[in-house]
Amino acid sequence: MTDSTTTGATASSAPGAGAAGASRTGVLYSLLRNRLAVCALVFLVLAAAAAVFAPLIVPHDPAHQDLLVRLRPPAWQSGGSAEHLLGTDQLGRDLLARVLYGTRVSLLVGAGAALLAGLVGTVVGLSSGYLGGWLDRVLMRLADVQLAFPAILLALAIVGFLGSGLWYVILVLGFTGWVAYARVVRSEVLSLRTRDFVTEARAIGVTDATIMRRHLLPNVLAPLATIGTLHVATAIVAEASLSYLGLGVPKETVTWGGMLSDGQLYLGTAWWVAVFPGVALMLTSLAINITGDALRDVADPKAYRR
Amino acid sequence: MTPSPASAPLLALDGLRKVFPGGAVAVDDVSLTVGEGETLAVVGESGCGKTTLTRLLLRLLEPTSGTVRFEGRDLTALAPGRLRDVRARMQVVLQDPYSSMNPRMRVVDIVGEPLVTHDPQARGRRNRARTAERVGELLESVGLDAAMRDRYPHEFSGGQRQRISIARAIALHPRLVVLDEPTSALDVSVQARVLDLLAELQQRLGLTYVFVSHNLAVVRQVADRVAVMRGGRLVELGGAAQVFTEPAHPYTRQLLDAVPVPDPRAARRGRTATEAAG
Repeated sequence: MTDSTTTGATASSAPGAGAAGASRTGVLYSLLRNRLAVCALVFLVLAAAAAVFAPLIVPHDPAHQDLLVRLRPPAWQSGGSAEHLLGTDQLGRDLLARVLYGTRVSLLVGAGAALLAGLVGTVVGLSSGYLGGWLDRVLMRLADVQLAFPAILLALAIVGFLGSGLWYVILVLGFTGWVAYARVVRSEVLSLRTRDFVTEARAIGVTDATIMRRHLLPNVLAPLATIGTLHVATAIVAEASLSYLGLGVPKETVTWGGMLSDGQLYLGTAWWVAVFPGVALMLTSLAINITGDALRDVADPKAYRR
Repeated sequence: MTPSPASAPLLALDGLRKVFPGGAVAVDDVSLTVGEGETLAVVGESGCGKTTLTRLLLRLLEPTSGTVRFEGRDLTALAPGRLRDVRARMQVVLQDPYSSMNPRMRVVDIVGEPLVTHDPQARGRRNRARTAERVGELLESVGLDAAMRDRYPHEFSGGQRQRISIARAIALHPRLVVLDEPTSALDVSVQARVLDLLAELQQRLGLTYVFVSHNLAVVRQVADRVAVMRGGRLVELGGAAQVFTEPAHPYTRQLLDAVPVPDPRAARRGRTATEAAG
């Protein structure tokens, strides 16, 4: 079974890709051999698709209230109906629609925050590690200061001060998360910069900026991808926490955190209001974490030639 | 390009000294010259400052004091932009063929890097084909196949990688090539072929070599002149024939005696020679 799938995968990605394609196929191939990671990836792809195509999947508007059908249980319970597969919340809004639309905010915040933090952290880590000197000392003290503040507390303070909104949440979570990237990139760069190929590039006369871009960045991408993936999960949970506290995105936007905070009041009588967004949150962050772990396992360029 | 008689030396080190933060003296008051077209071997045990010396003369490290003159110009006083121009004419091949190449770059980009760095004509997408062609020629001139340019470094053996390093070093027709233990990580047979290649290239391109090594057997084969270092100091400097037959410094004699000689008759001859000299 493995034989036929392998050749199929290699053949499909080979044309026009040459050697670069071959190494990428290697990473992909190793990733695909990890069954759990494949499940997680499939789940994430489905979640992303659900977020994008939510209006096509459920007929209900997630904000539409129908007080006649408040707190209806899921379809398979007595009293439930096929009209509302996952039941309704305290205002009669369709839970399936809300969970699916909530995916949009979660994935957007997660990916946005991780990208922003990754960008900032990579630039800081590269320059800190490669250029060294006073720049390194200043940047790393800044990182210490940043770390000394619990990120969620800082996010709370900033959102409380600036006001809430989707983009504020992304900005805040992005700018509080850069330290992890910067530290990892810096430590990688510290070992890379003593490698002979960096010495040779310097001897050739390649500029510092080009050395960072051409020689250092490609060699730190693997750990970056791993931290980035895990950070997506952290950011999603952080956004949910902020929304739960009422400090995330405005009430009108559907978020899992907001749904959790609404639903907790009814946990005793209508468990489904809080449990479904909770399960969605848990599964998504679990899937992202599994993918991140698998990515770390296969990201070593030499490891995939086992 | 035939080596011209050394009117002014291509490279001149004067009172070069490097003290690392913490007080370790790596290079202590080294003065020497290298003439156009010759091979100067720098020998000594590990930790004697050979490698630091190469980093100083390539101006990758800042000397604590002293000067490095290349083509008559003091590199230590050169502005960064001018220094970049000079770097096109002095290249380096490092010891470890496994860490001297970016594992994520293809050979075409590795060997093409000096071209892209110094020649605007080689840069950009439109010139890719021409640069690739030039890389192919360079690979062929070091005994490799031009088609190998599309491969990654991990697909090559140590000897092949060192040939790739050499191809990169000669890409810009440099005047000086610093060879930092270029063969010490290789098998003896591969080593001999790489040395032959270096000799051929020197002839053909009129290269000047600074050849750092701890292997005296290799040095004897390639060097015109030999500089012996110990503890950061230059203890002996002279023509290769003279240093090998009549070492002036006791440390040089020790080094020579430590070289295993594969042929017992030659070993006996060698021993009597050193005894006679000492």
